[in-house]
Amino acid sequence: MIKTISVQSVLYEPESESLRTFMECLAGLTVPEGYELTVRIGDCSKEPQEAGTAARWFSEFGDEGIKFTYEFFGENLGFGGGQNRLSELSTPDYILTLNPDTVFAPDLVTELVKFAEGRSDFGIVEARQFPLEHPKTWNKKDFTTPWCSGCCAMFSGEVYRTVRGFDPAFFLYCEDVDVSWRVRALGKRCYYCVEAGIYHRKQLTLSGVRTGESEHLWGLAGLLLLLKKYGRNRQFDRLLNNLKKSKDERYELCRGLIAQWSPTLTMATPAERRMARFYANFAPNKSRWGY
Amino acid sequence: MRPTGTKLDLFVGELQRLESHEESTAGPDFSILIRTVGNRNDLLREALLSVMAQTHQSFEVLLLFHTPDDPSPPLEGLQSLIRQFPARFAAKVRLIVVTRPGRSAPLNDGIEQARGRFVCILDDDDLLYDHHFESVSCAVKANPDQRVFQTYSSRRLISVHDKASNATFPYSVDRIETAYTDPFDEAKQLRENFVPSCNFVFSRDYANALGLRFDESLEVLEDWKFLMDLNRLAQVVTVPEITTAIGARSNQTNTVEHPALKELWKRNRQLIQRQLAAAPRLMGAKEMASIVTVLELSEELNMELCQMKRPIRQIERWFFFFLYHVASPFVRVFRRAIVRGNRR
Repeated sequence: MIKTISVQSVLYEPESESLRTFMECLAGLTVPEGYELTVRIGDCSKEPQEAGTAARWFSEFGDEGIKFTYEFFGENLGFGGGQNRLSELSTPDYILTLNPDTVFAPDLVTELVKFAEGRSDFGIVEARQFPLEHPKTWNKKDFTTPWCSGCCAMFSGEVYRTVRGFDPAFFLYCEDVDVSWRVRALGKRCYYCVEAGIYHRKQLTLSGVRTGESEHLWGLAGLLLLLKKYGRNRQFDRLLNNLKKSKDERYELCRGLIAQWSPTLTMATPAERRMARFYANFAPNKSRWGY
Repeated sequence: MRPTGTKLDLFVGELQRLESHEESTAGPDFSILIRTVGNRNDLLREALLSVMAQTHQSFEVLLLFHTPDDPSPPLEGLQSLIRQFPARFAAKVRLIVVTRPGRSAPLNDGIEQARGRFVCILDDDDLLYDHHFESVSCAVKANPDQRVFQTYSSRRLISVHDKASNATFPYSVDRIETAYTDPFDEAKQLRENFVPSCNFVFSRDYANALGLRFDESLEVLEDWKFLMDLNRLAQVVTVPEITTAIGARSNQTNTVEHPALKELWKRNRQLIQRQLAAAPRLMGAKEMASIVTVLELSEELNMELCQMKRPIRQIERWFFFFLYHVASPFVRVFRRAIVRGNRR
């Protein structure tokens, strides 16, 4: 019986050249034997013109063995919301979430599938990012990791549907941490596949990783929401107070966003709370290096 | 009348060659030279992906397959690797076989065959951040008369994952840190190399006009010598951005750290220093000031050391005086007493 893989990516006003390279990589993907591959692009941009270009590029470079679908959402659903909408289109065996700011080799899916097959406790597996490998820790013996980055994470379709995908209350950032903890609460595991490498467009400056304005704001708002969802009220208050004391411009914005999102937030169950870990600076992972 | 054969004649001659050299107009903005010996294609693939990801796409890739021991090497491995890439990128890659010995040979062949306005180098275990060409391109636009540019780098300490078989892949990173992030300083650079090969970009026309090539007699540090040759007439413009990631392996297989290569490293370093001291160079006022500062500092340190040594010498003198005049009579008395005691 042929198994299905859905490779999903959510766009928002992408830069033309990097989108073109991304589409070329998608079109060149090798389909693992016994599988059917569908590339699903969801577009949260204000206008659908980029998507038309994406479809044209895909047909230009694409392999006939890969199906391609394109959805223009007409609204900005955020990362998790967009991925959930795309996953509702079918019931694949595996769901691979991919950021459009990535570049990868054709065997990416093959390596991830090879890793996932035969692991009965498989929930999610993520690819190794370069040139800046993700700073969170992973176990070198059994390849487990506390959570998987959504930049390139392959979910078991069944597990994804059981946990009902990403929590749409998170707009950007930390939704991958949340879904990973919920997957682990089911008794499934998060894995790190070193064999599958993916180039993630990140840059390093003399003072650390370069973060855009959106990451600066949404990353913090996502973290606050994560603390709230997992019942870390004291840490939540401390982080907000720290922002207020330091006269951080994001304080008012974050308060507004939390007030807006909180009603839609599904609070974590006791089993899910047991999976949650917060470390220095309230981060959900220990950093392997100092940036 | 000015005597002939002076340093000035050398510079005038080189400047005349530069002026008479016709600038090439065709070709992409950058030629990137990637040398490989073909034994770590997995790492090379990641290096190529990092080139493909560049936001500035006017470039060509010269993949220099170095096989000095095999005049007709099997090319299937590298050819199939190139075919894995999308056609638009694969069309930019040229596979060139270099059979001449020496680490510098592939780089020199690469410069000969390059068509880009600027040339840069990448080893097969190094990576580019996606703004490398864009950052240099902006610097070129801002400094149209300059010929040599330098960027900064980060270092990835990569652990060999399968230690039992010493497999070179898969790699994971144990540590990421910034490295080589100082602006170019000619005076400092004369002493040691602070700019890795992947961090300097030079005009092909400039190198060709002066006939500059990597020294093929050097077994290591060939990039240091070449950069200093480029720097003899041209200023090096620093682009203060981290645009490359150098791979350092934890199993000491880097040429820099390999214990067996330490002696070779030292020998080549001394050789280059002698060559640099022998060749005349144009030095800017800033560099001269830097050398004067270093000399002054060294003089001051020397003075301070002398002043520190004076009281130490005084203490030493007193100590020996005490030992000879005060302590030794007592020692003698004790020795006699012990000898007498033994006789009884």
